[in-house]
Amino acid sequence: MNTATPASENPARHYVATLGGVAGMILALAAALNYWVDANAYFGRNTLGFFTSAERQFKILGLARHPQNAVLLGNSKAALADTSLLRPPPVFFNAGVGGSLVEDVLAMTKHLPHDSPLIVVALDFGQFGNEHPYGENLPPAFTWHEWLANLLSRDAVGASVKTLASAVWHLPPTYRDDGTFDATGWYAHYDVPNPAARVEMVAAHNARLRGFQFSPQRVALLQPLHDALTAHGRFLVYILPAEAEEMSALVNLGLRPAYDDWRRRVREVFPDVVDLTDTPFADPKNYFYLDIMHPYPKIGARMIAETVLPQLRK
Amino acid sequence: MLFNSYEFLLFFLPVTLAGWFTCGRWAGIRAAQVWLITASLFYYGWWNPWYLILIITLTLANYGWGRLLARRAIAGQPGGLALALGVAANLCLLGYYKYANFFLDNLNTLTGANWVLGQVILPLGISFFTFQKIGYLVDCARGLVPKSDFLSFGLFVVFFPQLIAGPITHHGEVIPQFSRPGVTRPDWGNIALGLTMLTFGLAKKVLLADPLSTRLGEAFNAAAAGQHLPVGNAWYAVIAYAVQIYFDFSGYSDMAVGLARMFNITLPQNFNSPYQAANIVEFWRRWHMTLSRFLRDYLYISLGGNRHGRLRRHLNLIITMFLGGLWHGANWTFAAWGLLHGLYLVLNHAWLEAKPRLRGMAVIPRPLRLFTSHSLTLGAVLLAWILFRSNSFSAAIVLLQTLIGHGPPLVADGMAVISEVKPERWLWLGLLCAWVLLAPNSQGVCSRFQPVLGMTEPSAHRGLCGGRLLWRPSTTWAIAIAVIFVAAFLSLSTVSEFLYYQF
Repeated sequence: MNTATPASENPARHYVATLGGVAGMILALAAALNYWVDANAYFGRNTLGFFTSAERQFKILGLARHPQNAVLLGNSKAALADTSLLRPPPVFFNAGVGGSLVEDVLAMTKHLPHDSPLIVVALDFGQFGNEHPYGENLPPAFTWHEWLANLLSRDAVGASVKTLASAVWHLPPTYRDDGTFDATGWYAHYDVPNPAARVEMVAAHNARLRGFQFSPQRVALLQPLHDALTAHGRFLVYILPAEAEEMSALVNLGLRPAYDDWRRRVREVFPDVVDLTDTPFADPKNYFYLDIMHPYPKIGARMIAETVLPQLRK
Repeated sequence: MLFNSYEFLLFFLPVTLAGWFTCGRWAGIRAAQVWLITASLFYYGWWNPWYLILIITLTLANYGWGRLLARRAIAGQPGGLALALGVAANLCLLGYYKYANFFLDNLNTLTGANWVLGQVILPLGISFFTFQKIGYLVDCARGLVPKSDFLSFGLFVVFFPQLIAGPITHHGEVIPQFSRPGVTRPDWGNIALGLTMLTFGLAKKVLLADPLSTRLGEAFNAAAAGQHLPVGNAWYAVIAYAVQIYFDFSGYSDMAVGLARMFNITLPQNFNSPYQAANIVEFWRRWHMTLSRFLRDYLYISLGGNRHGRLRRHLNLIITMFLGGLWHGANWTFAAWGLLHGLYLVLNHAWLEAKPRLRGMAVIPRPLRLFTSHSLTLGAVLLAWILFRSNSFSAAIVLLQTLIGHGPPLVADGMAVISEVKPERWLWLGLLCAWVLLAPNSQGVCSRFQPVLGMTEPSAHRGLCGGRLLWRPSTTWAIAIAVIFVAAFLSLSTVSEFLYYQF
């Protein structure tokens, strides 16, 4: 039988001890770093700010941490709105989360603080589509696998190092304390006057719209959302506009009737809804040049200041 | 439970290893064997506990049937019918789980019927352990297995390092090891070597193979959907797949070898730098070596091998490779892949027979001959991988057309545009290609301590800087392996199955 082994036991034992010791030491260091920095706020320790895509964790944590008397809920179109530009009162916390679907918004209402007198909800047709599997896309559950992944994964180490480096160089965090997003990088990437790139971006976006259908299951969540908001207290709801080019794609794809049905259903559930569809806010000049999905942060704030908050006076 | 998972590396492996040595020391080798069988069944049942019934029943039935065949063989009684029954029973189960729906689909297509069987879940590893047991039955009937105890046989089937995706061990090479004196005694040399091989395999899988999957998957999917694909992406996909499947599967084999070695069990070699082969015959002596061995010993030779003339030999080769291809999965693309390799082998044998008669060959410089033969072999293997990876012939054809610049045109109305593969990805792929084409493999690096059975001469690897780069249990190597292990371990957060699990 061909089973030759290292001749001497001692070097082999030393080898195993060294290997185990060195590997264990590096892993322990990585775990300590990840636990201390806690870039994704998984362990509830994050102290250096949020620089990574730990948006959901941060928003949930921030709702409880940040002093505010108004909360904005919605998807990335709301998340990009610079609610810090809104003159107090009220003082907003922007709890908009990129990619959040209506079930996520509903789930987020469970995290709302009891002392928040006003909830503003931005509804977007994209939150009611059927292209994503149904189910709340919440932060990772506190399972032992996720616990280990947050403690001992390359991604976690990368996020920790990035967070640490950003803190050392005094770079602003991606998210500010009030939940607003630092859009500096977004401007750099998506506000570039490159017509060829815009054509490609618009084409890719339209291709994604091609299979779009409203999900009856998601539209049916409007009523539970209404009930949850009513139980909480005062709230305002507005429908985000689709940018003009996006709207023409919806029309060309024959989706406008379904879109109007959805708006009608929203009005049935929320009679006071502010509907910004086809308003001047849909003008392409209000949107990032290479990202027709997202209005500029100050435009997002203007939508709320000029059309939504005045409802409070009624 | 995957080898590349937290639960395996942090819990299952240490507990099982500790249990093996502890039982061996305090309760004897039988208790240790029972422990290892139990742990292996737990490992298998982690995926789906219901399939434990299947594997336990098959193990018991094959052991009993094998003993019956062996007794008849020793007594000189004919065992042909009993052997045929045993082999057929194993093949029927494999056929049901793996090919029933495939068979029905084809029957429906041919007859226009609409028979539906429902979803049949393929039990993990059934393709591998079925072959092991067939080999055992055949050798029992040939009188080559005069005795084997049940616990050793049970371990031969369910021993977890080789249970799911091989190497396809031969009973004669592993069963005696499970009851060898001292097998349950901790051997630091074997643990050191095992940890090293485990780390090599883990790194191959999670650091080298997995990162390639995104861009190549995107290209194969686009081809399947008949979408436009940049020519460069198509080439990237084909080359990257060849590299990915090698690192993925040989990585798994390295891990299996390393894990087994920690238990003082040496498994056979499964890969030997296959892309360094100078011809297809050699390629199959280096790629999935234990499958090639099984196909040769139990199929090709049973069909008559090379004993009935050249034509029959070629036919036997093609049948063997066709069935070997189909073994990989219930899809005609796999069968076509096997058939293509069968044709390659026939051509290769014909060439090897004709070569001595070609006088002009001698004037061609040897380096040029070598370069040509290596390039042709590699090209033929790459071409065949397209069939293997594509989920349909039409997808394979689209990809082939794209490779030569005749793929589907770009749709101007906004179908998803696939961006071209970035130069840094090409550079990385180039480095990986250089690695698989030129560098020694993990067994070669560890050849001083013969990590696998049936290994080529260790002296063949002395060329590694005069042997200075050969692994040995030194402090420098320990630190290097620890760093590689940590890098791989930190990449475990994403669950990624081995490609050969699906076969």
